[in-house]
This record gives sequence, C-alpha cells and structure tokens, in this order.
Amino acid sequence: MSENHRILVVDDLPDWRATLKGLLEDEGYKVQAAKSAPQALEFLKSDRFDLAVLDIRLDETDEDNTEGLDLAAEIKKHWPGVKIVIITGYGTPEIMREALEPDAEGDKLAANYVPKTETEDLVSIVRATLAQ
Amino acid sequence: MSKGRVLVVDDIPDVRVTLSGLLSDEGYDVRSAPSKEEALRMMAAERFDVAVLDARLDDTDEDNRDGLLLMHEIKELDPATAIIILTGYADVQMVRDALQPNAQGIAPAFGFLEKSELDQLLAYVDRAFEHTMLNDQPQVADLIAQGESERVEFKSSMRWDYKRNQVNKDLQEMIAKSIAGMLNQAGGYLLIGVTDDGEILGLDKDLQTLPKPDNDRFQLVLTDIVTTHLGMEVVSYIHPHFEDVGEKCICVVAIRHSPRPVFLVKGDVYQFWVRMGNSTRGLDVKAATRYIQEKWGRVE
Repeated sequence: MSENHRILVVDDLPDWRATLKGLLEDEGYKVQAAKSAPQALEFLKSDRFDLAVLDIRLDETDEDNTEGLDLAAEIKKHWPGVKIVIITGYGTPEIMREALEPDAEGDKLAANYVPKTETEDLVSIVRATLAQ
Repeated sequence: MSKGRVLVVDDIPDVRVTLSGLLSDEGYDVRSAPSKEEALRMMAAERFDVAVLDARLDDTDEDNRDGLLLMHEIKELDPATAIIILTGYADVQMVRDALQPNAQGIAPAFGFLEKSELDQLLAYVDRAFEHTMLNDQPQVADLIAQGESERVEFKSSMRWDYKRNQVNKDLQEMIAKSIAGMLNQAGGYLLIGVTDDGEILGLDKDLQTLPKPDNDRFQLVLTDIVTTHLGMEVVSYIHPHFEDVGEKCICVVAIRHSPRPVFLVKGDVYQFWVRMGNSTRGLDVKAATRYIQEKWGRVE
C-alpha cells in the first residue's frame, strides 16, 4: 500500500522540491524532501525509506555538478534496500549511461530515470519501481 | 565448448569481420548479419545469448536507427537475449530508448558500446552474458510456490533413490529426460532437491553418493548426464547453479529452448521427449516427426 511507502526527494531548488513532494503525497506516499546530499544522508540515517528520487545537479550554479549520482552511489552502498529514481532537467547520454547501465557486478545505480520535462510519468514510474 | 552464442549485426562488412573475429577468438560462437531483416531471419531459427547491434544499419543514412528497431524486435522474440548497442555517439534519445526500464524494471538493452571504446568489447560481452543468465533467473521461492508447470519441474534427487534408500543411476536418465523435454519445448527450470509437491529435500543424499560431497562434483555429474544422454552441443543451453532455500541447498538448472531437436540416446536407441503441461512425454516416430516439423521446420 502506498501509505506505507516512504520516499525521500532530493532537489536543491525549493520549487521542484515542493512539486515533487506534492505529486507523490497526492498518491498517498509519505515524503520527506532534502535540499542537499548532506541533508539527504542525515534523513537516511534517522528514517527508513523505500525509494529516493534524486535530482542529479544539486548545485544550480554549477553546470557540471552531478552530486546526485554520487549520492545515489552512497545510498546504494549504505542503504542497498532503497530504490533510486533519477530525475534531471539536464540529461546527457553520459549521465544516463552512468545511471542505467549495469556495472561489472551487474548492478545499476538507478532503477529508473525521469526527465523533468516528463514529471507526469514520475508517479507511475515510482509505483512500478516500488512494486519490483 | 562455446562460451555462448553471439549475434553481431552491422552493415559494414569490415566491422562484422573484426567483431566476429575478436569474439570467436575468445571462445564465443558468433554469427553475423548485415541487416535487420537478415538478423530476424536468423533469430527465427536459433537463439543467441548476446546480440551486438550497430544502431545505424545503413551507413548512407544519418538518421537510420534500424539497430534500435531491431533491439525492440529481438526483445519481443527472445527477452533473454542481452543486447549491446554499438554506436559512434550515443545521444539522449538513443540512450533512453535503449536503457529506460519498462514497468517490470526491464530495459531493452544491456548497454552501449561507443565505437571509440571497442577495446572493451570482450569485457562488455562477458558482462552482458553473465547478466543475462542472472537476470533471467526468477526467484526460486516463486518457482517453488507456483508449483510444476510446462516450464518448471521438481525432482527429489539426481541419483539417490528415496524409496529404495540407495543410489539408483536410472534416476540420472530421468533427469536427462526432463531436460530434453524442456529443450524441445519452451525451456524452463529443473529444480533438483524438491519433491513433486514442492517440499524442499536439499541435495545432501545426492552429495553423499559422490566421491567428494560438494556442489562442484554434483555439477560435474550433471554435465556428464547431459553429455552422455543428450550430446555435447546442448551443454551451452543448460545453466545449473545452487541456491539455498531455508536451511537446505538445491540445484536450479536453467534450460533454454533448443534451436534444433534434441534426442535422448539410450544404448543405440534414440528417444524424443517433450514437456507438455506439467509432465514430460515421449513421442513415437510419427508424433515426433510432426512435432519437429511444426516447431523447427525442415531440419537438416
């Protein structure tokens, strides 16, 4: 049941945090939103989450910022049970490959990927990912 | 023995020859095709573990993406084939098309190889091959819970006769029969160490009959059963592994469907077995001939 699923949203932009949180809360998920990787890690240490929706660029002033991917790796390492959905407004082939291609052990960094231009798909993708 | 079967699809003959050469030197059984149509024709007749597809299958047309169309068609025909997309440059649309998972969490392609990364081809194909085997595997608990079916069969043991309380090598032939039935049908899973009703017995009794009671030895005997009764060439369609279920360990044999009929050799007699519903049946000559013609067409 969606009421029981807890989701962590990480985005540096307040508007996006609110939007994503709202979208998911409307579906009945319990959502916590973090503005940075360190804050996300704090939340993860004190709460149990089933899934994390991570923005890739966590510093809007830096075009090359891909902190979201590092955070994804960190989460995979310490909280392997948390499923990860990547969300970004600036997808490049390199970033997407890093997120979705299996590594040498056959593990993928993220379960799925949603461009910010297609957030209408977020809910269905989150639902499907949680069901897997 | 072949490490696995690879299909290479590229419109440029030199690339086909180079990739095929690299992969066959590594022990893969490689076939190649210049076009989507030719590749699909091959796929209809045989199955491949890994397919390496050039995204653009017409070099004179910048916008050609036949390789990606082929990727989707292969996924329909044989979802177990791991697909590697070969491209000069992977753009966002291409990566999404290939790597975005569906609702079941399965992406059409395993990954990309850019033409500048060709030195990684072998490592990549090895990895894709491993991945397809692992990924293809349903949860054993689910297989047991669902019970026997056309694609799932349970066997209490490989050679230990629980009724007579002794080794019974006739049971080995039963294992070969079950495997042949699935090879000749849709493939599936043979679970050894599980009773017909799904009770987990484990492999202890079987292991005690071996000179060294370990899983490696068990696997050797199993391979030996397969080669003796069904022939060397079917070994690459059979992938056993061991899994703990609760306190017990069982053997899960993943079986692919065979691209050609497989006969069970008993002395100098050939038998033809097919899995039907949840049993394995022997067909007489007439029925076997009809079945083979319908399933594989003309067989050389």
